[in-house]
Amino acid sequence: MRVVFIVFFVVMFISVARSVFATENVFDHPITEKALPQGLTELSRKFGEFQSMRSDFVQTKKISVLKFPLITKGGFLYASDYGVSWKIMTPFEAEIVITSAGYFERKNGEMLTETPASAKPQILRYLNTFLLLFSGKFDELGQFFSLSFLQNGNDWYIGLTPRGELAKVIQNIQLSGSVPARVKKLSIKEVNGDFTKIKFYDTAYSTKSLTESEQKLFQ
Amino acid sequence: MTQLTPPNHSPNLNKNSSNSFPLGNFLPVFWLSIVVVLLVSTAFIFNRGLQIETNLLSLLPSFKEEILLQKSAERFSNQVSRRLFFLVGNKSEKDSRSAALKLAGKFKKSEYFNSVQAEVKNRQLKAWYEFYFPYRHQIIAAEIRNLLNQEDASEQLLLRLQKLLYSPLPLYSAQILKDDPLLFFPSFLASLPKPPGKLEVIDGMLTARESGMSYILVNVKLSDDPFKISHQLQISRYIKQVVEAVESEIYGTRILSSGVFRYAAAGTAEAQREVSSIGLGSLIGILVLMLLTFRSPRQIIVAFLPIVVGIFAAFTVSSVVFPKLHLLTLVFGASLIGVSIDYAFHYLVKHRMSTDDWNGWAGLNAVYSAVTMGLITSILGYAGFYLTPFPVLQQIAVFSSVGLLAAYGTVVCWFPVLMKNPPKYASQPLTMLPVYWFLRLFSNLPRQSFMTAGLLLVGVGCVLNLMSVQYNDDIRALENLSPELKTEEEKIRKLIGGLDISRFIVVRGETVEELLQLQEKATLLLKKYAKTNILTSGDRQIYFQSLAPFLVSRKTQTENLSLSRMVFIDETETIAQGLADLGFEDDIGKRLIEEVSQPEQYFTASQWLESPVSEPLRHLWLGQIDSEYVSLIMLSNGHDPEAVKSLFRLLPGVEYINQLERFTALFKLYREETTRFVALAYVIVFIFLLWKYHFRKAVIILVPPALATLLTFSVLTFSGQSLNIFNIVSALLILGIGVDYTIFFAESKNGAEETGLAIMLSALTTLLSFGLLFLSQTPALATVGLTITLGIGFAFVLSPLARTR
Repeated sequence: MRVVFIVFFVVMFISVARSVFATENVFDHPITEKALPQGLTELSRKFGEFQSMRSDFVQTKKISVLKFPLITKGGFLYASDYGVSWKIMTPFEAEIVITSAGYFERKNGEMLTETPASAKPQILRYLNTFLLLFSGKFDELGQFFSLSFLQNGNDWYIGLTPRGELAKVIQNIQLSGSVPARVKKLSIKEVNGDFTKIKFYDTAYSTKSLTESEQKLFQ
Repeated sequence: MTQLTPPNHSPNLNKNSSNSFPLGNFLPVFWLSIVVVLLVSTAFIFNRGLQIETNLLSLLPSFKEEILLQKSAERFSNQVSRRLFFLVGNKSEKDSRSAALKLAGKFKKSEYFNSVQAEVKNRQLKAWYEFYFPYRHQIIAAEIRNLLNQEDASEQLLLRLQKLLYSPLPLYSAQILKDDPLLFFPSFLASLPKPPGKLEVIDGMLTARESGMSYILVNVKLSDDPFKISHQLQISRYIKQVVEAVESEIYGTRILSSGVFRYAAAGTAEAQREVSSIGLGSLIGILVLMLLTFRSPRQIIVAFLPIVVGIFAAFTVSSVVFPKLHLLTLVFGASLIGVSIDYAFHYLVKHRMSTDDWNGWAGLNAVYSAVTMGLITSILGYAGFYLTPFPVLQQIAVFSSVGLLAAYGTVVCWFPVLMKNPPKYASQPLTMLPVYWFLRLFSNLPRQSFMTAGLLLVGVGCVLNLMSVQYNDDIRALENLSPELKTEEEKIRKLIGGLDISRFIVVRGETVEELLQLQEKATLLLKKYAKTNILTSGDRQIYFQSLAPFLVSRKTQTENLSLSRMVFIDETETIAQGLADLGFEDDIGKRLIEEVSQPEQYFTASQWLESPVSEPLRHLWLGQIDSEYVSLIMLSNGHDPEAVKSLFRLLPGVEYINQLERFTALFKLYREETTRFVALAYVIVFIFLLWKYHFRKAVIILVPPALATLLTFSVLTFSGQSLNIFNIVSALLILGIGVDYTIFFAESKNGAEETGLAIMLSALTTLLSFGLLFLSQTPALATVGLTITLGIGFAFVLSPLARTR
C-alpha cells in the first residue's frame, strides 16, 4: 500500500511541478470590470452546453500536520441537474454525493447524511462553489469571490479569491483546462498552507441526461 | 299626566331646617379632613413609585406547587420580553449590510436599549475552542460514542478519520489534528443543534436570503420592561422614526421587526386610540345630557366629584392593604365605583326639581335612605369577592367597596354644602319629557298579576335558553392583533425560525447535577420524537433549544471520559499504527493515552455560565428558584402540545408548560368563581332587603336586575356569543346599578318622576361610558360593552316595577 502511495506521490509531484512552472499565475489577472470578459462568457456558455461530465480523478491533499500528502483516486461524475458523484477507489472505497442539499456518503445504496443543509455555512458555501464551478455559472460565483481569468493559447485558468467568511479558511481556488471547456485541474489552497489538487483524466462530456442507473446515484 | 304630582311639594324642604340632618354642621369639615388625608397619602404612594402588576400570571391563586412554575415563567418572560429583532432587508446584500449597521449605530446611541447587536463577534469561535477543547473526551458527540461502543472501535474511528482526511472538502480543523487526531472536538461542534430558520453567519452578520432579498438580523435588548406604559409610546415612536430614516436613506431597504414590545406597544396604542375616540364620544354625550338637564356646568363637576374621591380612596386604601395592585383591579374596580354616579344624580335631580325654598340638608334627607340602601346593597354584593381565594378578586372587593363608601361620603357630606343655593331654573328640564312618557307607558301596562305571569314566563324562557350557554375562556380572545403585525410576524418567523414563548418545558432538580441529568433525559426523548414528527404548520422538523448538548452533566462527562480511556488504552497499538500510517507523528498514540489518563477535570454549570460560550443560551438557565434549580427547553412554533406533553409523563421534574392553556384554565376558574359569587351576591342582597323590607317588596326590588341579567345573557347566548369572565363581572355591575334603580323607586314614595329622571340620567351615562365600548376593536371589550348596554337597558326599562303606588 505504502509503496503505491509513494509512487503516486512522485508521479503527482512531477506533474504538479510541471504545470506550476509552465503557467502564468492566473491571480495576476483579476477581473475588475463588472461584466465578465468575453473569453469567460464564452467558456461559461460552453460549460452550459453539457449536461454531464465523467472523468477519473487523482486528488492530492497536503495537510501540514501529516508527514506526507494523502492521495485519492476514483471516478468523478458531474450532472448539471443532480450534482457531483465522487467515487473513491483507493486507498479505500467510498461514495460521496454532493448536491445543493449537502454532502452525503452513499453506503449500500443509501444516502447517509454527512453534512446536512444545516451544516456550517462555510461548508455549504464551499459545496455550492464546487457545483457552480462545474456548471460554468461564473457570474454567480462572483457574488462571493473575486474572479481572475487568464487565457493562454488553448489553456484557460479561472481563479477564485474568496471574500468574507470563506476567506478565513480558503486562500484561493483555481480551475484550469483547455478550450472549449475541458476541465483539467482544480486546486484549492487553504490559508494555513494546506492544499488540495484534483486532476481529471479521460474526461468525457455529454449533452444527454444521465442514464437511469446513474440517476440512482443521487437518490 | 294628571296623576303625576308636581315635584316641588316635598314638605320637608323648608329653608330653615339647616339642622334637619343630624351632624349637618360637622359633616363637611369632617369629610374635608378625610379627603385631605387621602390626597396626601395618594401623593405619598405616587412618590414612592407606583407599582402596578400587569402580569396575568399573578391572577393565579397561590397554590403551592404552582409557585415554582409561576416564578420560572416570570423569570423567563422577563428575559425574553425585552428582546427586539429587526430584519433589515434589501435586494443587494451590500446595501442591507450597511443599512443594518446604520440602524444598529443609531440604536446604540439611544438610552432605550442596553444591547444592540448587528455583528456576530469573531472571537466567538475562539471562545468555544478555549472553553470546550480541554474537555473534548468528556463531551463526545453521539456519532463518536456509537463508534466507541462498537467491538472494533479503533478501526471504526480510524476509518472515520480517513474519510474526513481524504474527502474533497477542505479540513477546517487541520491545526487541531496535532492535539485531537481523531477529531473529537469538530465532531462535538458539528453535533450541536444549529439555529432554526434561514439565518446563517455571512461575513460576521446573521443573514437570511429569501426570494431575492437579503436580510440581516439586528438584535436589540430594551433597557426597560416592555410593559412599562410610560415609555412605550416614546420608544415605539423613536423606533419608527429610526427605521423610516434608514429605509429612506438606503434605497430599497425594508425593515421588519418583532418582539413582545411590538405587541405591547401596539396594544397600548390601540387602547389609547379607542379611549380617545370612544371616550371622547361618551364624554360629549354625557356633557350634552347633563347640560340639557341641569343647564349649569357646576352640577357636572359636582356629579363627578364622588367618583373621583371614590377612586382616590379606593386606590389609597387598597395600596395600603395589598402590596401590589393589579391592572385588572383598577379597571374593574373603577367601573364598579362608577355606580356611585347614581347617588349624585339622585341628589342633583332632587335639587333641580326643587324651588326657592330649597335647603341642601333637607334635600339630603329626602334621598338619604334610598342612597344609603343603594350603597349597602352594592357593597354587600361586591364584598363577597373578599372570601374567594383569588388575589385579584379580593383586591376588587376592597377597591370597589372603599371607593363606593367614599363616593357615598362625598355625596352625603358635601353635596348639601356644594348645592346650597336653590336651582336657577324653575322650568322642567328638557330631559324630563321622556321620563314622563316612560312612566306613563308603565302605568298603562296590564294588571299586576298579568305582568307577574308574563315576567315569570320571560324568566323561565331565559333560563331555558341559558342552558345552551357557551363559554370561551381562551385568552387569545382578548388580543386584538392587527393583520399587518401578524403577517410581519409570520414572515420573520419563517426567516429566523421562531421559538414558542408561551409553551415550553420546565426542568427542575434538587441539585444542579440532578437538573443537568434530567435535562439530558428530556432532550433525548425530544430528539427521538423530533426525528419522526414534523410541525403541524408545515413540513419542517420540530426544533428545540435545550442546554443539554452545551452543558453536559458530570455523570455524562465521566461516562464519556472512561469510554474513551477504555478504547484508547485497550487498542493503543491499532490506533497508534493507524495514525502513523496516515502520516501523523510517531508519538501521537502515546500522547493520546496521556491525554485521557490525566485526572478528571469537569466543567461546571457556573463555569459555563461565566464563559462567553453560554451567551446565546443563557435565557434557558433560570438558576435557583426557592430550593430548586430550574432550566427551560424551548420548542419551535407549531409543535403539537399534547404529543410533547405526553413525552414526559414518566419523567418527574420535567413539565411541559402551556401558558396559553394555563391562562385559559385560569380565566375559566375565575369565571366560575365569579359566577358563584354573583349568585351569592344576590342572596346576600336579598337577605338584607328582607331585613329592611317585607318579602314582597324585597322580591320586587331584586327581580328587575335579576331579570335584566337573565335577559342580557339570554340575548347574548341566542345571538351566538360565547361568554367569559368579563361578561360575568358585568353581571355584577348590572346588579349593583339595577338594585340602585329599584331601591330609588321603592324609596321614592311620591317623587316618582324625579327618581325616574335620576335613574334615566344614570342609565344613559352608564350606557354612554360603558355601552360605547362595544364599538371597540378588542373583542373582549366589545362584549363587555354589549353586556352592559343590554343589562343596564333592561334594568332601566324594568326598574319602575319596583315603584310603590
